[in-house]
Amino acid sequence: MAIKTFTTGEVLTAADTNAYLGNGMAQYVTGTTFSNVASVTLLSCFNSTYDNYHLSFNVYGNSSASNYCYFQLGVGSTPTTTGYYSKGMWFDIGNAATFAYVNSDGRTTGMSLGPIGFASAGEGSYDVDVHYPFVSRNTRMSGHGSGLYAGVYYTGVTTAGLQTGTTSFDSIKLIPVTGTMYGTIDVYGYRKA
Amino acid sequence: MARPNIQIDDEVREMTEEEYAELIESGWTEEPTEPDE
Repeated sequence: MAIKTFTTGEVLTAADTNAYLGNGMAQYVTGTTFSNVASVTLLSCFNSTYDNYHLSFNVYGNSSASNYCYFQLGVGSTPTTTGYYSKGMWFDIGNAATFAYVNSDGRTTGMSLGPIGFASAGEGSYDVDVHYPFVSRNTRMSGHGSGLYAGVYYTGVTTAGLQTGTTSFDSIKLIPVTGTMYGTIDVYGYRKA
Repeated sequence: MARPNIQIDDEVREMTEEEYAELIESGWTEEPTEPDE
């Protein structure tokens, strides 16, 4: 819906409130909270209402070092495990003086997110935009975030990925590379009009 | 040793043997690992 410019003294109707003020750019679609699991699948998070989505992840693990996570697109409870080109790059935000590369995750089995530290103090938080997952075409993703890596590095993360198939996806599966994890996932759709 | 739990939407349960085998095959470990650069 287009932007409306209200004028001084104009009566704000219920219809305008619902149409212009109640509906922001991003609409909440679904989300979940998880605890001590080795993977979590969120169903029905993509649909025909939206083309582009914002995914917000807050995750920490039960391993004390070198843990990180990624997600896969899927159909129902079946994830797609191949056809990705993805890389997350991690740099040290605790080093104020210079740019310091920490590590990276190159991945063909999913979309790389980034480090997740031990317990809530090491939580990794990642925001990813996913483009056209429900449409039968390639799905492109890009994001950023921060997380504690190896119990030492407070990292900043930039990540990007592509799923090269033409499957219409409606779910995601989040996986840590080791141990189990705790946290939340929230999915928002970007309004098209 | 018990297999780890899996969550699908709000359902939490122990992984089946098949799911656990797939998880291991994906590279998941019980111990910390290093990323492929």
